[in-house]
Parts: sequence; structure tokens; C-alpha cells
Amino acid sequence: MRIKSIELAWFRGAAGPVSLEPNCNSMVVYGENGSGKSSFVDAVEYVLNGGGIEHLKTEYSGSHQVKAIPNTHKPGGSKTALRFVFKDDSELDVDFNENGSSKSSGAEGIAMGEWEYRQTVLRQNEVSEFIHDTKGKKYSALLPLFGLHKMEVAAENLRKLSKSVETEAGLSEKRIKLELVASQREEVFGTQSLDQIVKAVGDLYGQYCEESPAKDIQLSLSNEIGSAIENRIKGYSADNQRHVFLKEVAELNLQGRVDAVRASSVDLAESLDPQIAEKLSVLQSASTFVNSFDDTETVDCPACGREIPVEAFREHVNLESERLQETQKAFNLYKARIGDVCDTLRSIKSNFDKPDLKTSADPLQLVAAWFPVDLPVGGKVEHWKFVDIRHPYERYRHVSPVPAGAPVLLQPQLGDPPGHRVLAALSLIDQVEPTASLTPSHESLARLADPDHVATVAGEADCLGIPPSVPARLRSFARFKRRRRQASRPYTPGLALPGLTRLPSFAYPPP
Amino acid sequence: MVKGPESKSDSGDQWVSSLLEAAKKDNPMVADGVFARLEILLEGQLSERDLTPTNLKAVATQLIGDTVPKPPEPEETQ
Repeated sequence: MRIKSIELAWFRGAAGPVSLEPNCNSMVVYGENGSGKSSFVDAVEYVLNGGGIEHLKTEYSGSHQVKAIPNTHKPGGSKTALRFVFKDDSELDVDFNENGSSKSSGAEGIAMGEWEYRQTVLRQNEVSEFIHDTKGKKYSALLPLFGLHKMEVAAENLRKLSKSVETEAGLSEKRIKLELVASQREEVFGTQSLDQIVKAVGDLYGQYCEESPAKDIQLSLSNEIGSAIENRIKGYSADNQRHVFLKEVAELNLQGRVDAVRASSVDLAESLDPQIAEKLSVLQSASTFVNSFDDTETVDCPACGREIPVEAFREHVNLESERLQETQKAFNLYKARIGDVCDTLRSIKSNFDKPDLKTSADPLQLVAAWFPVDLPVGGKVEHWKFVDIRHPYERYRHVSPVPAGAPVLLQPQLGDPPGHRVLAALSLIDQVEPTASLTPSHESLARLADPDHVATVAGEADCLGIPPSVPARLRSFARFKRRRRQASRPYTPGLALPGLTRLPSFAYPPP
Repeated sequence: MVKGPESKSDSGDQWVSSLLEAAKKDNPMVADGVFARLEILLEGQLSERDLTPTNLKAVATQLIGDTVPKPPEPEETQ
């Protein structure tokens, strides 16, 4: 709503009834100083601010401001009043009492008190300040004129709120954890997509949790897979469990993690050490400066500007120096301990990297080193027959043919080195005996070997630091085979693996 | 009461709803409760005055709480 006219009577600088009709786009009001030009703006501000005029606050505090409203030259019997006439000819009257308080009437349809002050009033001093202001302040001054002040307040509050949310939620720590998880994912899964990972989880679930087929394959099944693997490991012998544990430890990327911790520690030291040194030097300078004063003097606090006794300032500087030195000492200790931990972990890792441990960490390679027997190569695996002996002292219990079409992990070929062929044989045995642990497979293979050789290998096993139960069983097995050889039992060719140079001398079927 | 076009309440705070719509589009995984609270805040105290650190902490805690979607309340059986 536009204002059609403003009428003042003995209001502020208006000496008598005066009126202004701003019913145009722009208008110039001129006059001598104190003639009452600004009183029209004061009148508008008075109504908009509910009886307050900002610039009067410097001279009059609180309720005393009303004393500045009536013109001091007002003759007795005349009244101080304001009248606003709007474009729709409605009027707003403000009558002042002798004590300066006011009462409004009329123009009920126009809530002038709710008008945005900044959109209505721009004072001359504000124009002058605007011209000399910085760009940022000009921006802040223009926003209210466009009715965007709320947005500016909201933007500032949102900026602070964003920081507050970040602090309260611990987002920076969570971001670092997320980066670690991402790097671990890359380490384990490479560049595989989420779908590929879910598929891999589904495959693992099918492999380890056959009893309870999953309806919906999802990542949360990993927990069940983990439990199933744990249970399977529990079913292993103590030696095998130790092997699994050692293998797991050996495969941890300790080296990379130790390097990362060391690099972070160096970064931290590079950023903190100069800061601590700088602050200590400032405090030392402050200490020198303050020591040049007498105890009775005062000094301006460099932080808050207040005048404080020299003694208090000196005490504060000394206290801060001590705190900083303690921090520096604690940080140096932290660096030393982190370095110590890294060195220890590196040493553990290098021990796991030793060739001996690596050999024992891979059971197939170990067995290949123990039993370099010649198995038949070439041909088709479904024609092979393996002996499934669950106990080394039992005779042949049954003969298990490899199922036709069974998956072959490693098919032996002509010309392969002996160890390689042993690995292939072990793979096949594992397929025939999916529930068998590693030890029966060793024993099955051991039956194919010469007892003298088994005894030699048992001696080698002693040297290799293999758990003593293994060579003991091997020796026992060798003795058993020698006794069998001496007994000269009839040999049944049908049982032998075709192409074996050294054939077992057991009878079949068992008596 | 008839208000003039320049009155404060006539601004309608349309910028709040358009701002939040754009934010929803850009952040589809953020719970609706967060936007609902932000709308109330932007139409109220966030646009009116500078918030104190205590107020900011309280509002931040509420917003963090809103990020966890609440399960729909079970319908009352009659």
C-alpha cells in the first residue's frame, strides 16, 4: 500500500502542522538544518518500529525517548500528532499525550506496523555508509531492501548449523572410517561392482551353508557364512586349526597398515611440531616482555584487551608455557611409542614372510615336499580309483571311484613335476572325500609311498618343526607297512593305481 | 483483517518450500523427517535471528535424530 500523504503536527523538528504528499515516484525535500526534513522519515519509523526511533537511542535511553518526540517549541494547548493517508484514502492517526505516549486510531485495514522496515526506510546516513562500505557490507545492506534479509539470516544460521551437525555427529571421524572401509573393499574385492560382490557372497553361501538355502541373496548373509566357516574350522584337528590361524595372520596386510600409521604419524608431527614451537617462542617473547615490568604495573591483555596486573599476566604466560611443554613431551612420547609399535609389527610381519613359515602355511606345498611320489599322469580322472582309508591301521575298507564328471581342481598332465602331480592327486582326494580333513588325505597319500621313504620324510618333518604327532604317526605307519611287506601277503593288481612304480602290498578284500 | 501486499506474512516463504524441494531431489536418501523439521525451522527461528551455540547444538541433535527414519505407527484397532 502506498502512502498518499504524511501530516505532522509538532512532531520532532516539525514546528507546526506540515504535510508531505509522496504520491509520486521520487521527490526531493530541502530546507535548512533543523527545519524538520528528517521528521517525516522519523514519523514513518515511529509507526513501523512501534514507537521507537533508532538514532534517538544514542541520546535517550529506554522510555526517556518519548521526551524527544514532541517539538520543544510546541505552544501550550497545541497537540503533537501524526496522520498517514493511504492510496485507498484510509487514514492512520497517532495522537500524543503530554507525557509523550501515543495512541493510534483508524486505518484498521492497513497493518502498517507489520511493514518491513528495511523495505520502507533508508536514512541518509545509511546511504552515505553504503557508498563507503565494503562489497560484503553493501551486499548485506541491499538484501533487506529486496526483502531477502530472512534469507541472509537463514543462510548464516544454516552455515553454522552445518558445522554443528558435523561436530555433533562426528562426521569427520566417520569420513575417515569410510575411507578405510573403501580401501579395504578395494583390497579384498578390487574393482568389482556391488552386484558382483553380492553374487560372490551368494556363491560362498551356497558352498558353506548348504543346510539352509537362502531365499534372498544379500550382503548380510556374510555373517552366516562367517559362522559356518568358524564351525568348520572348529571341526578340524588342533594342527589344522593352528595352520588356519597362522595362515590368516600371515595374510594380513600388516606391512601396508604399518606404513599408513607411520605416514599419518609423520604428517601429524609435521603439522604439530612447528605450531608448538611457534607458540612456545611467542610465549617466551611474552615472558621476556612481561618481565621488564614491575609487579605493581598493569598491562593490556593481548587476547581480550582488558587491563590486567602484570603479576597475573606473568603467571598466565608461565602456566601456558608449562602446558605447552608438557604437550610437546607427551607428543614426542607418542611418536616414539607409535614407532615402537610399527617396528614390532614389521618384525612380526617379516617373521611370517620367512620361507619356512610360508611353506608350512600352505599344507598342499608342504605335503608335496614330504611325499614326492610318482602318481600316474594323463588319462581320464574318472578311471582313477583312490583308496579311502579313514584310519591308518585299518586295511582297505572300500574303494571309492571318482564320480564321473566330477569337477577337477587341477588335472595332472604329462611332464608335470612330481610335487605338482601330488597336488593334483590331493585335489582329487579332497573331492572324493569332501568331509575328510587334511590328515586322512595325507595318510591316503602316504599309503602310496614306500615305507622307507615315509620314514625318511618323518625325519625331515622333525627338522622342519612340524608338530611331533605327525612324524610319530608317519613312523608308526612306516613300521606297519614294513610288517605288511614282510608278511608277503598276496598282491591284488586290481586295487593298484595304474602306472604306479611302487605298489601297495595289501590284500583285498579285507579278511 | 486485510493486509497490504507489502506485509511480512505475505512473502509466503515460498523460497523455503522450493529450497527444500530441490534439496530433497538432490538428497533422496535423507529421511523425510529431516526436511519436515528443516521446513519448520526455516519458517521460524532460522530466518528470524542468529542462533546461539546452545540453540545450534540442540537443533543439530534433533536433526541427527531425524536422520533415522521412524517406523510408521500401528493403526489403532477399534
